[in-house]
Amino acid sequence: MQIKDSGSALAGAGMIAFGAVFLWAGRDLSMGSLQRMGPGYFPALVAGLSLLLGAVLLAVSLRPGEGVMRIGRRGAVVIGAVAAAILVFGHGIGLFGMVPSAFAATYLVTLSQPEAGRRQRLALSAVSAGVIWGIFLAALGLQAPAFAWPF
Amino acid sequence: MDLLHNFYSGIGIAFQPLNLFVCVAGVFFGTLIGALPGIGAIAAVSMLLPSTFYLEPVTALVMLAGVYYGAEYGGSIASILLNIPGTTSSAVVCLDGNPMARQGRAGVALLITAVASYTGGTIGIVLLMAGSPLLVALAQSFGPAEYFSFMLLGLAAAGMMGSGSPAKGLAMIVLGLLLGCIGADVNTAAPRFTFGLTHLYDGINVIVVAMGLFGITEVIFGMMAPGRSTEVPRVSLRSMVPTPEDRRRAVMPILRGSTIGSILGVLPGAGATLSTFMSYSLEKSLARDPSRFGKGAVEGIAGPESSNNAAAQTAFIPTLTLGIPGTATMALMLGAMMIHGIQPGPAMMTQHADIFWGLIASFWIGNAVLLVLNIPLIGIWVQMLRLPSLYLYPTVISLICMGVYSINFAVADILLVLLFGLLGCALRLLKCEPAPLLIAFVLGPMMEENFRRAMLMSRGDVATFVERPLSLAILAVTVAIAGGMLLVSLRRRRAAQ
Repeated sequence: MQIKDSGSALAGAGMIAFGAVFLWAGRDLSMGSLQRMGPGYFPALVAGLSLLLGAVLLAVSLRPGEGVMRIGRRGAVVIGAVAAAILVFGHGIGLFGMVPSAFAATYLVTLSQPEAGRRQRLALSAVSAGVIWGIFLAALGLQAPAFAWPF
Repeated sequence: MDLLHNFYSGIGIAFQPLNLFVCVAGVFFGTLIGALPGIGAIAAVSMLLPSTFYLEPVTALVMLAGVYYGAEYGGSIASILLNIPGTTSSAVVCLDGNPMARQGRAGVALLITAVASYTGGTIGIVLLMAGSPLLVALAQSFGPAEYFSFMLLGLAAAGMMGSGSPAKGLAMIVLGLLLGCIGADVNTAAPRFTFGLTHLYDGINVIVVAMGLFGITEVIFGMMAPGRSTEVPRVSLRSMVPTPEDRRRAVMPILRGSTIGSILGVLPGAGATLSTFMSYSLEKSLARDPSRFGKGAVEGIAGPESSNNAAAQTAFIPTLTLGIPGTATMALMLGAMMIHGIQPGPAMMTQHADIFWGLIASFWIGNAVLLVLNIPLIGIWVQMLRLPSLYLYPTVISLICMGVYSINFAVADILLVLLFGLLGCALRLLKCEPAPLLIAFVLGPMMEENFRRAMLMSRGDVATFVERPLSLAILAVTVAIAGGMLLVSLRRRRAAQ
């Protein structure tokens, strides 16, 4: 018994985890009967299927398969930068408004691209903030402030 | 004739100046986003969806149809010129499209792609108009059991007919169903899986799921590939003119491809992908010299591209008449319709006849606008591909954040889109395709509702699904597809060993 396809093994473990979380989170929902199903019936059924498929994937992983994709350091940096940018945007939009948030988020993403120079990054972020302003405020007339100051 | 009259009234709606304008805008922005390497039609449609909230329903759908076509074509440009296929169907077009580009015939390949997709789309639309009333008539005898079985068929086909392993595809379906359970229960309004967050009470917005799983993930993976710029070939308008030989070779494959696509497209789940492969292998087996395939054969582009688009049109038949989407893009479109207060289904053709026919006509117009707009503009798109990835992807991340925020002005949605983006990355690393997940996410709540209703009507007797003949027939097709796919995958495994 040896895992030969780590992709299927990880996917199987993930499905078992998802199924378990949903079973646990839905433990207080009433099941009802097959004729009159409560809110908990269908989710429990699907969560059970999730456990089952997880087991199937674990079984499949004992044979050679597609494996996993490797992304290296550059990939990890890109994912980290995008995650940070989205978090900054989410926290910034209520405090400073749309334009500064878009500027900061774009700048953070460009940091993951080593080919860019500092001036290029700033220019790109400014253009991006302008595009966001143009689409969402000028063209769509969204009721959200372009700039804000929380203090 | 009824059909012509209906289409005529639909054209009248779609040709209103505002609708025509948004269609052109949709095609333009759709191509712009779709031409970014690695970014597909689902991501493009979801990104531009929030900007249609302020429009009338028909106008919004006309724009989305344009976006859809534009993004598909933009994807072909990127995949033919750079050999980076974004979707399974463009992977097939790549087989001969990229060799043509390397022979300096990228222009011809792109023109044939556009003409083939237009022809396939038009034939598909004619069948869509003719076939929809038939399916509506059939849908009159659909009860909850039939609806449930039909959705099961769609999910099984979508999960198992992808390019990866069937077990992973089914896992994606189940994951989509689980995520679809989040939110208030339809019958009792009891909150489910909201983890105490009031924001989740209404469920997760389908746009958030699509933008995260497709948009964020595709941008991240697009940025992982280091910058490219020089190897993009030049394409001028003059280089797009095909030789008489090209034209002769393209005609029959386009017609055959359209036929295959139209028939398979009705099958929910994976009709488009399947028909693309079938068309390619058919053309290869019919060719006098099959060895030309893979080295830049015109037939290898014309057939699959037209079948893909014909299937995309006829895939709309179950979406519109039964409210059951066949592809992930259609699932997103269905979500868009529901946001605009339109419930697709058998009643739509009678109650919202103007929207129904306007929508069908708009698909044709989107297709035609694509041909008129994108051929003269080809230089711009190719020029855009020369830009290092650095210039475009970071802006798209800001666009996604703002687009998600504009749906409900909820910061929680921005955090959710990040979560789904990370999930999308994990799925890609594990080589799981996210498209079935999106279909299941949209279908899940409908499936549950019909399952519960069917059980209520049969007094808890599960046998109702096989006792009703129509439901039994649908389930038989489902079992046949599932069995067939299992056999194929087992044989593939054995061949690999």
